[in-house]
Amino acid sequence: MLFNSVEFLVFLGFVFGFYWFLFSKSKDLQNGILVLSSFIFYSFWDWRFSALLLLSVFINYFGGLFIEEAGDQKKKYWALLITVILNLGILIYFKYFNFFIDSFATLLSYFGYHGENWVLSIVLPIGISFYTFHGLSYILDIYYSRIRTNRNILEYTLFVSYFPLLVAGPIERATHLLPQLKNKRIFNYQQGIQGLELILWGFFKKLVIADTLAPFVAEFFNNPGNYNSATLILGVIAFAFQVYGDFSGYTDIARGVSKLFGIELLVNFRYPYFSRSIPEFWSRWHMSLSSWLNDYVFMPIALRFRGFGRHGIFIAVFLTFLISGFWHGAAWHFVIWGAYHGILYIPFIYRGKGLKSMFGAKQKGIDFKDYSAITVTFIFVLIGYVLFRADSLRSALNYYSGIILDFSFQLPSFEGKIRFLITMVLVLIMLILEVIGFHHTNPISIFSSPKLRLVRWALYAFILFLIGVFMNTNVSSFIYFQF
Amino acid sequence: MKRFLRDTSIFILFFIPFYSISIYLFGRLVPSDFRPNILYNTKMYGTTSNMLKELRSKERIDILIVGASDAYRSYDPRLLGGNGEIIFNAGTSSQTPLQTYTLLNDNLDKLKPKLVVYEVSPVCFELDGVESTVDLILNGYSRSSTLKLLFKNPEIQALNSFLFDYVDAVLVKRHIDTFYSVKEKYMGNGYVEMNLSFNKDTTSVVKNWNPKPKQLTYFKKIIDLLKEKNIEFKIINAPSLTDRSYKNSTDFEFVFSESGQYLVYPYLKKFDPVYDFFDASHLNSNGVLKWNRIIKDRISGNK
Repeated sequence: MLFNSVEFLVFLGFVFGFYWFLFSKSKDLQNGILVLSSFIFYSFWDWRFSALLLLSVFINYFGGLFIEEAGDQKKKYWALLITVILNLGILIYFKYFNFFIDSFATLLSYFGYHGENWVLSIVLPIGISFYTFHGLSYILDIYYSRIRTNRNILEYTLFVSYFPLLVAGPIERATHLLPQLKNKRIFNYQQGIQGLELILWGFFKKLVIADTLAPFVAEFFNNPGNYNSATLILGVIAFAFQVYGDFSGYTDIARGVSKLFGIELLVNFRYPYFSRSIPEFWSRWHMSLSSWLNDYVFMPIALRFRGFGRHGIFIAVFLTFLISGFWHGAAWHFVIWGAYHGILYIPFIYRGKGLKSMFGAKQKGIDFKDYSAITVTFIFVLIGYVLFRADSLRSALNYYSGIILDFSFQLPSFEGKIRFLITMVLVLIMLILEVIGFHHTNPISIFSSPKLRLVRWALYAFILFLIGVFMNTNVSSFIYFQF
Repeated sequence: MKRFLRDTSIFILFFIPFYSISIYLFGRLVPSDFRPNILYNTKMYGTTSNMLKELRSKERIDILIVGASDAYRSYDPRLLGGNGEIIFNAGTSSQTPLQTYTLLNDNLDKLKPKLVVYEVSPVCFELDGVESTVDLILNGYSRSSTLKLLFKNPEIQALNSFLFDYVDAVLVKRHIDTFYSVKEKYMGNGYVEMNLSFNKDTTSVVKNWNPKPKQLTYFKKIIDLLKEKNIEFKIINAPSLTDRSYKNSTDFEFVFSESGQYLVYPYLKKFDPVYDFFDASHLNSNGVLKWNRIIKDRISGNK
């Protein structure tokens, strides 16, 4: 069940009604209805996926108990190791098995051995990377004594399976989400309004920006040989806004839906294309993954290599980005995309006082005086996006060669220019509203004063109108669902 | 919570007229290339308007033909009649099973046809039905029926067309212009004749038939409805070059024949791909003449 479907809106209406009118007497009833709804939501893809989700819940719930109750450090370590292996085992089987087998077969073919076709027909359960990372953060936090186990299995199940974040995050942390599930939620008017605003803004970004750019991007990336270099450059820029509209739109809807149930989710995006450096970009893009990788991958590796000084930091950064690339997809172009970002960190590690933190210091805001740094950073991000968007390494190389080797000073040329132009104007409207709304909870809450209610409503209606007139009518999935 | 529900409800009351009027003004003032989801004058066939007007005036019909453009362009009641039957062609542009079901459900009790000829176009089973819904809305089909269609098939383009038409007809009282193509003429009883031209596209692209589950459901509902009302029916697929280019044509043959009333003829070889068609999907007047001679006895004689 996609967020951008009528079925989901009906489902949400029912869950909202049940949650606040029939199951609002206690937090257990509230958690119960949300768990039930989450499993129904997940079963819409394939009911068998729910069994896997349940298995993940049990592994980490009991894994957490074993780790906490283990008498000494050695036993704790073994309990952690087994739980991590079980988690990663499921993830590797479903997501990476065919990648390893295929790569191994390719390697063997270089030595003249052509084996059987070992690739299995495995369906990737949607959201598996996200809920596996939820579970891992929980048991790692218990191991490092950052939190205590949660013995209420209903609360823990909801922490992992909560439907707004189940299939594409934000990757929540036990320290942030679990405390909210321990108390009965009481409806808050402002929170509810903010929830609806976020949902509206998320739909605008997904339906109007991302879905409208998607067919253009698909055409350019599928047939780079048919287009001149200017068109291909425009194609990468379009992809930048497609992926931003798609993923940040999804996150906004997820956060908005969750606010309707009185639960706050982590912020995942903070104007990434206004970053002045690559570390800053990673502190603004998919922030919940960045902070997860920082805490559970980068820090442990950096500690292990601390004797190597700046080289140790580089090793930790590079390995973290390799893992990040691999997390995004079981394919070499994702791994190389990760490595590319790792390499972009070199100047920040070796110059001056070195890298202050993996994902940049806390950002103050958007400063257009640094437009040259913003532009250069955006160009580096775009170069990486070719690897990210292409279907394979070969396709990415074809795309690069279409831009560089066939470079010419021709204007972009493709079918549907008017629709493309309209969408880019709407991208501009999106960016302007986001900049204006930087200091608000979301870009369309700029007129939050009760006196400006009519102005606020006119803005909501205007955005709904833009959705109605310009949305792409072909329902499409979210890009990050595949990860 | 009360305040939240109250404010949300008031906003919805504020939004509905705001949106409807904005859609109307935007549709009127902005060129069609700049309003992708407001379709009021693009590719809409004014002949549907004529057909619906005529259909409303009918008290009784003996043979009712339904289906998409293959229906209203391929079955000429003037050629099919002969035994004094009243034959009417209620085909509309890209009519999918969803709209066919609505048309039959709305009209069978009034018209009481003895036979329904359902021209099945496989491609219409692959469509979402927006084009056909918009066609019905803008050509004056009953508002309550088109509203039901919207609920069955909620698509933004159809909703926008509904609102546009409503504001235009009820508030502005200036009905939208009906678009007629100079290449075709409404001949009465639902039949639309094209000026004679020949097919230039004889290459066929091999593809798979991927019907939408919803359309298959409505196809079954149509059969059930006709059986329930005890009306004889025949399911026919008029000659088309594109229908033969499906890799899995046996799939739709199977679906159609499951109804028990599918008439299959080895007819295509009798038609010239250039001189009997005006495009890959439609017969020209030469082809219509041949086709109606073949089919006449089967329909009119009810063999």
